[in-house]
Amino acid sequence: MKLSFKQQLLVLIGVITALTLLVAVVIVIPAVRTILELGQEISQLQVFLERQYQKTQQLRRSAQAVDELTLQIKRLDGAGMKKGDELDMIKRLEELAAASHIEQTLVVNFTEIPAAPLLVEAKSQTLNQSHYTFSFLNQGRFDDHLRFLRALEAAPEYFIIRQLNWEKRQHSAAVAAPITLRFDAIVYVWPSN
Amino acid sequence: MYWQFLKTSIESLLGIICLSGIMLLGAEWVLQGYFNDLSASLTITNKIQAAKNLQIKQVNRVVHNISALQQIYTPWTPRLSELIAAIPPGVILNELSANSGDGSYRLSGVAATRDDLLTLQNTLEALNFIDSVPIPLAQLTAREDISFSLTATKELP
Repeated sequence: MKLSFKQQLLVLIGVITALTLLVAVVIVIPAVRTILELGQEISQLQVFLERQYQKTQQLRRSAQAVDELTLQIKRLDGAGMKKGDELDMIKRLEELAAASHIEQTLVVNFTEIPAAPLLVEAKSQTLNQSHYTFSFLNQGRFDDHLRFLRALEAAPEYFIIRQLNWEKRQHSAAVAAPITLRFDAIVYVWPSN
Repeated sequence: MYWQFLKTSIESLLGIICLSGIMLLGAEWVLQGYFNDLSASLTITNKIQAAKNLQIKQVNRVVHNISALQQIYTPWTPRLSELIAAIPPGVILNELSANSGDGSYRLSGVAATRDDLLTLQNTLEALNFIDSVPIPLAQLTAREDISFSLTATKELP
């Protein structure tokens, strides 16, 4: 069947229109939709990033200080003991006593307390944390006791001493008269988080 | 002639739409890349912030622990040094008990004279960590070799 020129033209126009619609439906419309969506998401993201940037600017000084602070804070992290370090500590205390010319009798106890947010009980001067209790019965001269106590205070761990009992048996003014010092020192164990 | 014009117009429209399609696809590709870059930088920012937050949390934890310890910690040696320096020569201490809970110091010993005992009371009361050292009346009756037992206290806030 031979089509007339007009018919051929009509068919061609139909094919081209179909192609145009196809390109519009398959490519142009989805692309426009995607671009609009992307535009919206990018706008939201930019607003979010802008906020983050402002926060970061505000925190910049703190962030710079944190690195320096972390180094310093590492030294303070030894304020408590780790569970299981008791033998190490006993040896250190023995060495300290020997260096201070103190005759020392030491008893150690561990008190386990279930993990809970840190709470200071001001009245009893305790914390609700697990701790080691070191009971000292020391004998020596007053100056040596003081030297020993100073060494304890200079240690990285905080030895919490609530009571000190000094006793001298002899009623004598002799400087070298032995003095007995009894006290309990508590060292806290921090939870390992 | 009219049909020929219509055909050319539709061909031009097709050309324009095809060109627009190509441009839109290119734009979409560029925008997608930009979006991916933004998302990636956001992820990195979040990671850095999370790391900093963790560091800050650790610092806060240690500071919190130290602050709690400081509240219950008593540096004894400076006080003891001051206390012992305040003992006059005529007084011999036999017992000394110091309690940080109630801020009290119990001293017992022998004073050579009543004046030595009163000097002890005055020097102890002059210390900044002691407010009062009452002497029991019974211990003031003797004039020499007085066995004393005193409790020095600090008025707690």
